[in-house]
Amino acid sequence: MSEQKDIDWYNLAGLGIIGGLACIYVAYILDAVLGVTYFAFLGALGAILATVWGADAVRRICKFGIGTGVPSIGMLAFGMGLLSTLLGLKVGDYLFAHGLSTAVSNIVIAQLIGPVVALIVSLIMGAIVGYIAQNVIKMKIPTMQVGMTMIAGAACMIYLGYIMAITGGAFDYTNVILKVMNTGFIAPLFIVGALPMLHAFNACMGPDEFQKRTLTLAIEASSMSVVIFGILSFASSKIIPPVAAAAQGVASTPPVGINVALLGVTTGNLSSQAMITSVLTVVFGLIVWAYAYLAYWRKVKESGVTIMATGLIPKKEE
Amino acid sequence: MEPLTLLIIVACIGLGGLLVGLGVHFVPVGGAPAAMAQATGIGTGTTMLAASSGFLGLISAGLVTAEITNGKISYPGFTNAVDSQTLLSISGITSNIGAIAIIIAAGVIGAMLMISILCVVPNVLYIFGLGVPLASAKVKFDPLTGDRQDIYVTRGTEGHGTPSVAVISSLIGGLLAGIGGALTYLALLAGGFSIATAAFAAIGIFFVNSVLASYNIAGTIEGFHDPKFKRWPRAFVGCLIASVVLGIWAAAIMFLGA
Repeated sequence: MSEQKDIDWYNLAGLGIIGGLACIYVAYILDAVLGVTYFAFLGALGAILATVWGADAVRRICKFGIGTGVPSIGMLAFGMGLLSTLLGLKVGDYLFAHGLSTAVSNIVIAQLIGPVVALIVSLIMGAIVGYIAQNVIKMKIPTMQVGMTMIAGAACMIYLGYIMAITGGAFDYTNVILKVMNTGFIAPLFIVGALPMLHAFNACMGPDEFQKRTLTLAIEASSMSVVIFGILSFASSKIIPPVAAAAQGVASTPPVGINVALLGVTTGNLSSQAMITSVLTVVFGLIVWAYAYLAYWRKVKESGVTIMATGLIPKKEE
Repeated sequence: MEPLTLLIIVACIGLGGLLVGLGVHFVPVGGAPAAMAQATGIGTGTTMLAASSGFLGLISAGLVTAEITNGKISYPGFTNAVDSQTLLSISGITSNIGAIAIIIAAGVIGAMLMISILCVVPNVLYIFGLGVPLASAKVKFDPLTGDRQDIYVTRGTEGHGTPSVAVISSLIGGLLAGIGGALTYLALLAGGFSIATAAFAAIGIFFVNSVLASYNIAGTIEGFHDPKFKRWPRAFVGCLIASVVLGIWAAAIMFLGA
């Protein structure tokens, strides 16, 4: 299979960054302009594109053997990405609260800044950790510096995409804390979000590993994650911020505990719009999964070899 | 928020990450060969070890935080200090030192408990299930008990199970990493993060440092008696830089108003 030509990883980085950001923005803008939340599944599509990017970067780093197993690098990426992503979203939130609250046909300009800042901060973090791994810890892996930058960026885009799927189309700081963090959905996001990125190479590695099959598996695995986050979004869309709850007249008891200024109010009923949004995400995930599964099956068949039955080895040489 | 408090928070996260990175060097990580009783140590990678002991440490630290908050353990002033984000200012530390100490102790107990379970329970399986003696291939005599090791190591393998010295070493690792994890969690909580956010940001920092440290030991180590342990200064520098940078990101979020 060595005659297969690999896609350059900078092209895949372009796919992850531009495709991921474009999906998130298109979903947000369409939702805001039309006044609906149905396009949250586009965020999940962005996460799938970012997973392809991340899986390729993982593949190119781990080909050299990192000695600790492939999963460690996915966890490292998501560990780096979490605070960076939150910081980026917080910057957007801060700009919104301090001056930049202009909205063009319901599109809040300040919120659009968040994902870009999150991506930039993550890339910086990845470059720093890549530098540490290469020059301080001396791992002697030529692709380490660039690769680590890429997986941190991919982790950030995956976070953003799945955050959008879970919250039903929102990625502002308040909603993220409310619907993803405080509900505890960050735990599956951390593990199930990282899994497609690291699992693809972990499952396919070996002497006849080739890029297209690995990346097809990444798409297959990430579409399963989309289904899971679609299911979670049923629960998260019942939670609304305290301000919105007061506006809607939902009775709320003041939350008890510490640092609960941002705790939301759970309303018992699920609006039909939120339900359709979640169903769309789940269905989208299932369709992509079915297609990617069949594609992966074909790739496995292609690279499989026929085993000839030769019988047992004779006891004595003639 | 006061600049000094933010500085203390960054310092706490940096110190916490550093302790996690050092703690990993003490834990006998065996990897896949150890799972087949072909190498000394716990039969899984650093990622899983960090996840299991880190999660249990955080659960116990979080439990004690909740007990303090709802008054079962009496430390009046702790809740107010966290809510007003002055827990890690100088006056906050001095007046709440008891609460801080008990939360860190809870984190240490959780991490040490999990790591000792992971060391001792597989040993039962190795001894009675696989029928192998516990032996280290890196030293001829156990540095603590003085037991002979090399004659019990099967040819072609690098030891079996988790011998005494490695268990003691793992407890030291659990102690350091437990302090580190609890300190990180407390620093994030004091900065105004909600409990869940603080817990998962702490898990993220925990993962970064444990994976960087495991890159330093190239996957497997037996404990403080292993020759690879001498590489710790590299992880010291690496983890310090990485966790201080992550601490700065966290402080930036707090500065903008978490």
